[in-house]
Amino acid sequence: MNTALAVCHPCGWAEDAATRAWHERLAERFATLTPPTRKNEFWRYSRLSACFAPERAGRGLDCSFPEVEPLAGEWIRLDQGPPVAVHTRAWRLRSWSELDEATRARWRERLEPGEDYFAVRNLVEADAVLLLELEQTTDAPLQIQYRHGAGWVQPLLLVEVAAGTRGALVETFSSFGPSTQNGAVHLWLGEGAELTHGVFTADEEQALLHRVRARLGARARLDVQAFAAARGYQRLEWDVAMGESATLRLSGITQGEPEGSTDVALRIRHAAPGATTDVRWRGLVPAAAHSAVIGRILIEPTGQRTDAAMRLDHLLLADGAAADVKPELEIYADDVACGHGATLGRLDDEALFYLRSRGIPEVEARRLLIDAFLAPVLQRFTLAEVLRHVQSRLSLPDDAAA
Amino acid sequence: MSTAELDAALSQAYEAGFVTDIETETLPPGLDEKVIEYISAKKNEPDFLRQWRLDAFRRWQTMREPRWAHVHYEPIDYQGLIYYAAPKRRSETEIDPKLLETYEKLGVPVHERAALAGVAVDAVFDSVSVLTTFKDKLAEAGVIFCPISEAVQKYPELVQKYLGSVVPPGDNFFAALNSAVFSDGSFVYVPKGVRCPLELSTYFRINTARTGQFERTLIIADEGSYVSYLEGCTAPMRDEHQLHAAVVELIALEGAEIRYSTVQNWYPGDEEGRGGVYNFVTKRGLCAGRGAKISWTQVETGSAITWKYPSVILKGDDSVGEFYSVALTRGRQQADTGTKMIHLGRNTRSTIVSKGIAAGHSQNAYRGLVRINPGASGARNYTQCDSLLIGPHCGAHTFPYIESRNPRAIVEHEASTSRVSEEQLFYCRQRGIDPERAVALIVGGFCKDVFQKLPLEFAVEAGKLLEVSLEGSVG
Repeated sequence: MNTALAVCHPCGWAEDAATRAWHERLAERFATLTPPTRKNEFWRYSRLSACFAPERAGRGLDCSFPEVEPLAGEWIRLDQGPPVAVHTRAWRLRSWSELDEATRARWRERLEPGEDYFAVRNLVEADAVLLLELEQTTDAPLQIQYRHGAGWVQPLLLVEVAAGTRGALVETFSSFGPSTQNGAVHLWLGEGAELTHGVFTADEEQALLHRVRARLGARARLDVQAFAAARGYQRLEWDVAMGESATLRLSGITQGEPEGSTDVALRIRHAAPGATTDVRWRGLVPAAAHSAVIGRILIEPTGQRTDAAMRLDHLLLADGAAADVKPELEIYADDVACGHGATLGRLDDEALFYLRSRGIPEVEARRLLIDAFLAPVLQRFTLAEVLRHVQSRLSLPDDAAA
Repeated sequence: MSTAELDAALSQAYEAGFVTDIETETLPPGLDEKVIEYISAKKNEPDFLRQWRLDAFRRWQTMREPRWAHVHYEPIDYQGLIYYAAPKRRSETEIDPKLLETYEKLGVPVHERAALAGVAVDAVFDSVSVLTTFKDKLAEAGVIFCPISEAVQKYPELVQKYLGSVVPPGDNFFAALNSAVFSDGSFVYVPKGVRCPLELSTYFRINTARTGQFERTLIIADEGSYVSYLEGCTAPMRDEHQLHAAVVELIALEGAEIRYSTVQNWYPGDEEGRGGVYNFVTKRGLCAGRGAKISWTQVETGSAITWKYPSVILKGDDSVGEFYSVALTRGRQQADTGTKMIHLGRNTRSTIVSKGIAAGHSQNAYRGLVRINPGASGARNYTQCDSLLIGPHCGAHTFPYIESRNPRAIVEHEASTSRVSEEQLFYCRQRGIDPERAVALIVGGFCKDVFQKLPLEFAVEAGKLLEVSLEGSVG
């Protein structure tokens, strides 16, 4: 299976007339936008200055990346945007220039630009526009490895999972130099389609903004398994529109790193009846780290019989740790069951005492309690790739033992 | 019960909607420095206050009206409002019987014969305080309870020290406007170690058309003292909107406790959203000393728009902040209300219990901030905000902000949104309880945690108010 099937180097948008006209309109819109400030509720806790640091400016820069071993299973590697290696049979990968006009028209319509500076900028300046299609169920997860190392890097991935099919995607990120990756993935799940989507951002030292826009068809199911650890600035964003009786299960862990800031923003819209959302995010915040989670569940008048729950919890492990949480519900339908819960706290002294009184050293006792804190999320990580990575990365922060 | 019946049942008459026909001294509409000079001169204020007002006005002119709340309204024409309206006094001591009648009609005990009620009342009519009861009895205990305009004359040093110390004039757009034009309100000072012998109460009434009401309340509880303060408000039914932009400042020194309760029943407007009061209020308390406690309890059933966040700054170590709220919206009412708990001191504790009930075409939002600053080791917060939806056209929203900068603090937040369930109704009806009574029971149970925190007289009034508003709301 691990044979290179194709290597392509697409470069952003192809120059057909319809796309050019569409792109020009986007560029005009982008010219009117400015980066968000903290007055914007969805950017209230963001530390954006890192994205615009002079050493990370510039576009289309070259960068050399280290040679690495091929990955196991199905995988695609994208360096500074375009793919450099593609190893997949189950998924069909095409660049924008390879698409027929009907497919292009369909996707232009789907790519609602909105008013968000980073989202529009990604569309306007996309280094690579790739369409991934899944037409048959596969159990092997496809790993997409992004590597960036110089200036602004803006990959755009379009993903279509055909009705009734099931698949899994895992996105991983690594940086090798001063850079800002402003990437986006647009997921389109057909009726009854199922996608398990892993997002894994450990070791990220530079600025990373990664946006997932998902549209779930009727009875579709999206299972997100995310792990975020930033030494620089990192923002992970999900914008999900739920179809009738669709299911979203979103599970995530933030492992804060000293001087790092991780920012998670969730927007989940229920406009169709009978859908279910279950969000569970937990964060560990050591000294000098910052973690923020903003989550909004919007239920339109047509979203009757919605069942939505959001649970956001953080453990602050040392002085200088900072956490901000904003779980929102906006509800315009009455036949719904919605709830959210949030906690910010520390390791339980009594539990720690209990363990220590039984001869368990403090470091070990803290490790156990942290594991217990993360367990409800880890239990939902079914992607072996993600789980293995996460468990190897979840080391006890040095100052947590203090 | 059909939606139409439900809507009809919800459009209960507003009982406090009458107008008192009384001779009034009013300024023409409009706002400039001359108006502020006029108000200040009218009240014979010392220079520091006149200057304070003018500074606030100049700041207000540079500010923009905030638009972030989850409420929608047409822009307010600030130059079209009347900033001073006062019933003409026949003499210094005599009060127009029509005014007394008004308060009698509203059920406010303004005669001291109503001593059994155990409440001292300050009655504010449009821009001025018209009478204050039991001043002498309170004075015996050393408690000062008087209109703020009187306090400015009699206790200028206290006013100068504390006015604007919790809500500075430039705090926000509406607080700046209030600081510039505030006309009256209540002033309370409870001396060291005194437990105020009576419940204190202020009753606000807007009567004159196109009048904005900008009262200012300042309550200071000195070390180890205790005071319970109640606030009620109504306005006549008018087709145009009226602005109520009050500021309330509470200061609790070491070991002091202030309980502040509000039953807000301003005119909510008609079913189509015509008229009604814009209730844009800044309320904030400061637990300045160790072990101080401030407790806000509010029952909000009126106003076209309610936009306020009674807050507590927990500065003293071991201080306590509480917020208990029931907000009911119906018709076209909108509410964006909640609280802020700012933990600065060690071992500070706060509790937030908010119950939102939305019916008709109304929108009801809870917005709350809990902030734990780096010095607030051992701080604790517990927040519970529940929403109940009655009918398919309303909205219930929750916007909590939780920010922690201290690893030794614990913050817990939970929220739920649901509707009055068929099972609950069925259960009640099976036992012979009619649907209207059943809804009242269910909603009463939903709000019980908050009502328990109200002083007895208010708890009864609040319960009745809610029952009237909800009659026949589910079927």
